Amino acid sequence: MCDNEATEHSRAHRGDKRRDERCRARRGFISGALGCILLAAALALAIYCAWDETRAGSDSSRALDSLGAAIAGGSSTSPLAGPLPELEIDGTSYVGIIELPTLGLRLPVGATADDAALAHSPGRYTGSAYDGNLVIAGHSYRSHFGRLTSLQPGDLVVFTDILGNSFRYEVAMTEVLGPTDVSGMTESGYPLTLFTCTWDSSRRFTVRCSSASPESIV
Amino acid sequence: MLEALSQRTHLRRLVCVLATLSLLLCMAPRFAFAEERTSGYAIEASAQDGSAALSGVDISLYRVGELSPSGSWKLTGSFADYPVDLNGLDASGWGAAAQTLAAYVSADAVPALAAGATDARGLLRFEDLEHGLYLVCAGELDYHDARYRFSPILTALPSVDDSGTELSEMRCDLKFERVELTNLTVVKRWDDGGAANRPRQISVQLLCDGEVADTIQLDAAAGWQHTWTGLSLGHSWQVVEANVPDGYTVTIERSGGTVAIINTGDITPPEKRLPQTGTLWHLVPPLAFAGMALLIVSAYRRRRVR
Repeated sequence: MCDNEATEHSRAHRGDKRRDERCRARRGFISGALGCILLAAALALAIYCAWDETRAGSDSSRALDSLGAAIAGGSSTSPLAGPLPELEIDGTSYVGIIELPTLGLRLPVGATADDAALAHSPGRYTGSAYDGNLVIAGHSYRSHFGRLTSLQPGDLVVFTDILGNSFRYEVAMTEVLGPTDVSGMTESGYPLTLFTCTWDSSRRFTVRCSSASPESIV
Repeated sequence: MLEALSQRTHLRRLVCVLATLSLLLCMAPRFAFAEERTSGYAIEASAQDGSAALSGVDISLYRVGELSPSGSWKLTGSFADYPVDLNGLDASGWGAAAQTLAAYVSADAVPALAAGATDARGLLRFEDLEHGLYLVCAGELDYHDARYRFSPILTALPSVDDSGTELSEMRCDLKFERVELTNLTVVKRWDDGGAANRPRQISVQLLCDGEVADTIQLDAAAGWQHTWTGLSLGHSWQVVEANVPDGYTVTIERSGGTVAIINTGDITPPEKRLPQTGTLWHLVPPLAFAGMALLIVSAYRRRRVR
């Protein structure tokens, strides 16, 4: 009798053990599958981000060629107050060209800074170079404003409007603002402000520029 | 015999006289009917502003009249029917007659006898012309921010100088009026926050002394701007927008040769959040790390099962 009970007990114990092992194996499989899915998602996202970077760079380069030719052929007039004049190229309006020589950047500036426009080039968020309150936003693509963090005080920035008038600035300071600090971004008193998202897109890396005198350009 | 000698002498004298008369008769036409010159004349038009030669001036030549047997001028050819009297004129009268005939040329598109443009020396020569009265007309020339308006000239071929010598070539020094020119640029600005209902194009008028001189369309493809060139400084030039779009007010600002027409519309309310200008790169490391961690856990569990 006792032998039977012991055999039954042993048999039940082995059954439990097998169930635990199967459960453990199932969890391991699920973890592995999830891990593969996440790795695949990370790879796909990386490929998409790389493609988006390339696309943004070629879009802005193409627009710059057309815009540069139009500005070169235009007449230069005295700057006036008020909003910047706009030039439409291939269905998109632009207000000028921004140059950052220390970063080797020369980019078109769109007339607006909505999501669709920023995907192709930096855009005028608010203000005007004529009124000394121009704010330009750009995506953190490496070919756009992704390297703004490398700017140092004293670096030259040049904005040229579509009439050929050039406005020279130098970097005064940099700061990081919250995503809802709209008044802080637009009412700084600086004649030119550039901003883009930080690495985690939670805040805005901001470059403040003051007007440059010819002697102060490095 | 003496009588016969006398008769031969008379006969010889008669033959000499007849021969002389014949000789004179043969030569007479050369003196009495000398050939009259009617062609081979030339006109040289000259356009000069002081020491500066005006090249490229378009000049047209018209033969308007000739001398009648009575010695008076009469209009001929295409000009015969014009009611212009060319006789008894003083210097100002000839100038007025030239202006009148030039006006008829323009109005009736009278074809020119010859035409050309002045060379680098400001000269244009018309050769092998018949005798007669000629009208020299010159077109306007824009040169160094100025416009030259030339007066037409009447000149006769042949003519005589003060000493009475016939002149087969006439030089016409073109008189002109010089008007300073200027440019005017109009630039359209939109202060509407990039409104989607912004018009695709607008109509702008150029006013000269209050009268509409030109109407043009401005659109985005042209950069919302236009430049008028060659405007005379002697007038008042203004720019107005023909029809201000609904929902906009207009402000005109002028600075030097540039006029800005600013349309202010409904500005979109200020955003409460700055635009999202980041990328998705920051999601790649967490996803990758999470995937690697799960794979490590999976491998550990499988090893424990074995």
